[in-house]
Amino acid sequence: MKLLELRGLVASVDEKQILNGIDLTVNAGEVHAIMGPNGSGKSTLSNVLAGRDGYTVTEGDIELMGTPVNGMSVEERALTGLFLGFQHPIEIPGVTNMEFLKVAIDSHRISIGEEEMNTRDFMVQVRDISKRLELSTEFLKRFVNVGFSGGEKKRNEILQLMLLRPRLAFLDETDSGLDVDALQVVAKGINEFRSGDNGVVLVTHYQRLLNYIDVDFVHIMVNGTIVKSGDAQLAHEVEAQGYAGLGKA
Amino acid sequence: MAVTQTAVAAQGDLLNRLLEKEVQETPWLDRSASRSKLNCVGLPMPWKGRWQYTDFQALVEDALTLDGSEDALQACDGIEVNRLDQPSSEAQAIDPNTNEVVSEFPLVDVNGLLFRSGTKLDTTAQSARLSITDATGSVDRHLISVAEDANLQVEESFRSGNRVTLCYVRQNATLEYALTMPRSEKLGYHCIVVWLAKDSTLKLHLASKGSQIRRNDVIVNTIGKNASATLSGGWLVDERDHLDTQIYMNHRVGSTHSEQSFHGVVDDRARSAFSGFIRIDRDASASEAHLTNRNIALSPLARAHAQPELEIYTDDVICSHGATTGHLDADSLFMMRSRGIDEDSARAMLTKGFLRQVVHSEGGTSLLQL
Repeated sequence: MKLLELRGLVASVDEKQILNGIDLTVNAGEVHAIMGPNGSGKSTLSNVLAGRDGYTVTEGDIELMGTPVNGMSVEERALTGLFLGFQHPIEIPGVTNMEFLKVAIDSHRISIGEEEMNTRDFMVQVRDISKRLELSTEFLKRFVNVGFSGGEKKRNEILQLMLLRPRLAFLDETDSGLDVDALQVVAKGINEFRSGDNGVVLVTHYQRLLNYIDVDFVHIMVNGTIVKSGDAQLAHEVEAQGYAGLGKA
Repeated sequence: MAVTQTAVAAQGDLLNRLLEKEVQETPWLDRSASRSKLNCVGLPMPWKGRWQYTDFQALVEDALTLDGSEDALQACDGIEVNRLDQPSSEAQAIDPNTNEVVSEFPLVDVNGLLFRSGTKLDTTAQSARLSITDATGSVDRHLISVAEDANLQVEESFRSGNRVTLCYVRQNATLEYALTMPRSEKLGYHCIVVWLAKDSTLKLHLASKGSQIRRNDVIVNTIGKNASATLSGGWLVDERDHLDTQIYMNHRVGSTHSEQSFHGVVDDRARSAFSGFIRIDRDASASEAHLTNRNIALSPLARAHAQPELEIYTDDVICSHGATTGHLDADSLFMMRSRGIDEDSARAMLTKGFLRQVVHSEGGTSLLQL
């Protein structure tokens, strides 16, 4: 099943065109990596997919789970199965992690006609995921991402991913700012999440995350377009040659 | 010019009616200080200075109609109670040095002329508790004295009417004061004045909704070294309601400390105003004072006015103040929606989160449904 299909996607931010025609298909069971230098449009692509205000599709199509996203709100896209992992996770003072996670999971359940999750079941599930991500359950009582280290913030993103179990995870530089230990924990979470029913897109600068996650496809993005696609070997070529040479390819 | 003359004439008329209404039935209460101050200073011009956002005349007119004498004292433990409507030579003031109140707060003197009920409350135990409830339809006054080394916890609810509470916190004593102001369709004036003696502590926490017109004045004077005041709280004002909160933090002696943190949310066509005034006197060196006020307007027709002010008359102080008014954080809203939370729910959660950062009391949490 096609989870994501981009056809000739052109998009602008504040009337400046950033994405210059992107074609990409992600099927269930696949893990893709999008690599590219700073300013290549990777984060813009994430925000365009999520439907963020100020990011405008001017040409081309986006389909999520076979449905065009035209006119879909941010939350409708999320409830359709898209999960956006943030490069810089947002701090939300005054809102506890626990409350946030409960409302998020209940929103998903209600959207498919299920009842809100029993609090006890929710706690069991959240504690289990936290343990696997080596996060203290104390941090569930804290405000979302407030006072968290860089590694804790990224692990919190993966906790949300594992709890919400979306069809497509689009993870924007989840590896940035992580030390090796935290990187391994995050990669472990992503590996536990991946299955034949869902898909993952890893947006990254570096090959190092791919040391821990087997990817099926690697795409090189330069100047708002995908200039080259290949298998995992392509990431090693990037590491050896840099983006400049590949961009001209 | 004609408008000014009309306004002055209206003020004169209002003042005369006010002075004529001075309560005569309680000769044991000395109202001379209030009377002479009003006679001397007069009433402020409407829509100017500290009354820029609130209809002063409406509050005075309202006070003139209030003739109730409800008993607001709900419960107390470790307190000696003297009722001000009963003859008592002790009930004139809590301390000879605490009769004066700054002239910018003339409704304190209006209250001084018109109050018919109230209490004088003195702690008699090391640890005391007190609960003051609504007395709608009344002008009332409470005099609270916290004895040396004592700790007093006050819970107060106020909806409408006109109430002034004067608190004297003696050496090494602590006053923890939680004020809750539920919504009301009536008018209300509320004022707390606190004097902090050496090594004493004030922890004042307020949570408020709006009303047709509500003005809340808090005046804190540090009169002894090492006195410390922590003032915090939040408000949620909606519909067409009005709330004007004025804090006057007066560091009168040195080595005193104050910290203020207030968050306000205004919605629909409501209006809030906040003024946080910090004054460091010439003799108050080595003092430290901080003030933060943040406001969020949820609706394009809502208005939140914020005015932090600092007046420093000496060197060697540490002071900071700041106020912001804006909308809910767009990044936070996007992040929550990207997890499938609908926009209305996300906005509600963010609003509660904003208030939760400063509203901690049980009454406040319940009032603002946090």
